[in-house]
Amino acid sequence: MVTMSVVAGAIYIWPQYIIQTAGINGLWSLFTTAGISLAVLALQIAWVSLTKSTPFAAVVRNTWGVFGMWVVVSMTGILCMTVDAIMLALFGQMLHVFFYPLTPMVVPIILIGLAGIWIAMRSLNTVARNVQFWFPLIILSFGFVLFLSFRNVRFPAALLPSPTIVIPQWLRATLGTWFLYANGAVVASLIPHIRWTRRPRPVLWTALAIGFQTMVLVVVFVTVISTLGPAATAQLQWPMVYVFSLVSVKTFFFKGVGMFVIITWTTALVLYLAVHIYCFSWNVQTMADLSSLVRRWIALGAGIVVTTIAILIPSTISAGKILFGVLNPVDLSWTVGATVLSVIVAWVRHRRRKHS
Amino acid sequence: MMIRMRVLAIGAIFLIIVMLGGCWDSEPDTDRASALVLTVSQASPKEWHWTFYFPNPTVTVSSLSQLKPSNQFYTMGVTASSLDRAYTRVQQKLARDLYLGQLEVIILSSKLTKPEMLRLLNAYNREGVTPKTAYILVGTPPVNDLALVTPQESIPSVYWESYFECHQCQPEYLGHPEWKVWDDMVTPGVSPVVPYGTKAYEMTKIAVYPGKGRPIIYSTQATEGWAYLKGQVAKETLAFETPWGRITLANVHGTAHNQVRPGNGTIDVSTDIHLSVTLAEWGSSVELTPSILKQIEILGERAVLSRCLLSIGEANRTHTDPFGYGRSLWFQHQAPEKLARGGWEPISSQVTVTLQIRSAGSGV
Repeated sequence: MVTMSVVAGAIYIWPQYIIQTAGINGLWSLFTTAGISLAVLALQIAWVSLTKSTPFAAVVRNTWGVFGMWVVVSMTGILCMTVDAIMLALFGQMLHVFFYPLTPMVVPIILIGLAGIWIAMRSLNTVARNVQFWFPLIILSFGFVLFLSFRNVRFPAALLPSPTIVIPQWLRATLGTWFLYANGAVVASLIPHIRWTRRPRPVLWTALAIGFQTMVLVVVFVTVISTLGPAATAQLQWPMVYVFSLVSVKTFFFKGVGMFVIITWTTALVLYLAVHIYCFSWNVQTMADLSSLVRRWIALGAGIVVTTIAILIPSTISAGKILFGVLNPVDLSWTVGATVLSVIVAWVRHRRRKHS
Repeated sequence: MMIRMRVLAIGAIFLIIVMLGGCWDSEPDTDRASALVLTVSQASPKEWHWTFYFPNPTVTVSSLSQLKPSNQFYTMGVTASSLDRAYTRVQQKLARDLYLGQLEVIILSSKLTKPEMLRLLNAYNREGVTPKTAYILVGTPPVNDLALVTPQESIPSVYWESYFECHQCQPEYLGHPEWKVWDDMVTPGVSPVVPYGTKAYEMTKIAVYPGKGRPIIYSTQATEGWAYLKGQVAKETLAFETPWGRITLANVHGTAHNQVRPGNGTIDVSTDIHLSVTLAEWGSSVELTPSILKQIEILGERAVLSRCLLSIGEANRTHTDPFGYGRSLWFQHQAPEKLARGGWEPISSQVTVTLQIRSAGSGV
């Protein structure tokens, strides 16, 4: 479940930005981000196990008190929801450009938003089962199209690491990759719900989840760069879509195998939204001690907010600006800062309780 | 409360079903004109002439017998300053929705310079539905002579698309899809290559685009050399005179491996070419021995080598790099400043050809 909740629905725009900033060295930035993410999640898990409570909101309450809890949870909630909204907006714009040029852009956005809300309004079991069912299918079809696109690989040499690493570029690219890992709260609130067969080893599981996500991203990076080379990738708005559109199998049933990817990505995005909205509503439910029926309405409200923000974003360019210029730095500093501080506070309290 | 939820859910599902239809985008085929070929040539310094080829909707199996192959397409030509202007004009003329999702071949005039072509390809790339796998060709105007139908097909199909897709038909793989040409245009250190045709059904040369200006047309032999150096020889034949009569080597195919290093103001390349051939024709009175085969192999290697050297000489003379050696250097990040800025450096090449006769003749 942890592994599954980390499926990010945003890889279709992904490599462009880091290649623009860091060139081929983007790969190092990716590993750096994965490292930061791993450290933050390990801290969060330590925090959860120090306070021995769940979900995220309850963890925060035990550390910061009721007022602090509202501040932390709403800040995290706002950031997460804006990131989700931008993912949704970008995806809607991508569908509009490539698949439904005559359909108004709001239509796919509303549809995906609705599907996400619908799943998020169900119980945890339903959400988990849905993710569990779709996850292998998503990975399989993604792997299939990737396999077909290996035929177009032209420049394996483009992957050679450069002997010179420019530190500012590397850091900027690291920042630009963060949004793919900005789902810490989700994992933190799901950890206690894993049914452990043996001794619980949350750190191992989280490491596996992040490792898996990083592996998918590395494969995407390698495919795009070795097919197009860094110069061409930096000029494309949707490098991944472009690479997949080159796959054409003449003897196959239909020409555009890329259709598979669309099904894959749409499902991935719906689940991503559903898991995020679910966790948000669950956290609010715990904070205010509400019934599960009210939680559904909160999920509905949160989903509508996300969809509305997505509709209000006017273009891909502004979405990218907001994401890379504002959200990424804010989210990264907030996540790292708040987590480190919280763990210290929780640890101090824990020790004091032990001594008294 | 439950009932209200049900109603809400049913309403949502209904909405999804209605919207998923994508009615905005579905058009009946009769309202849509789906172009298969696009040709572009210069009309005036600022304007280009664009011709779109559509399969003739009246061609049915029963009407085929009365139709000449050339009638399988109808064309629509306009003069416009950019690709999107041309779309609009054609749509106006046709009174149908122009659809480029099925485009197979783009034929360009060799009068287009590299910046002009890059502008065109950028516009083409930004259009979401256009297939980036369409083949690009270059020809001398009037380029429309190159837009051909395959004579043998019952359903209208474009000759060049079938030809480039057929791996048994081409002596060298010359087919260049749009995305590769565009990629070469924006990547430093390589001169984009596009197959160049002069006559109907004949494509034996390449057009190589230097830094700016019009393409340079490589001779047929230099083109062959280029294909050997790139390892793109599929089914070539070699014929030469020997003491044992005229020899023909058929089914020449193989691989090439490059090692590229920065030299002193040059690009130092060493290339190993490995070829396998079939000995197809030799003097009827000659009794083949291993030593004669060995000597034929050496003569064949020389023939290949001379083509390779011709090609490198052509590249150095015209300041082009159709092999992408500069690009390899750029990828290794030890590229001289000049290359990274899109400049050119002379190629100093060392070529080793190994040719092996796999079998003497086929059949009897």
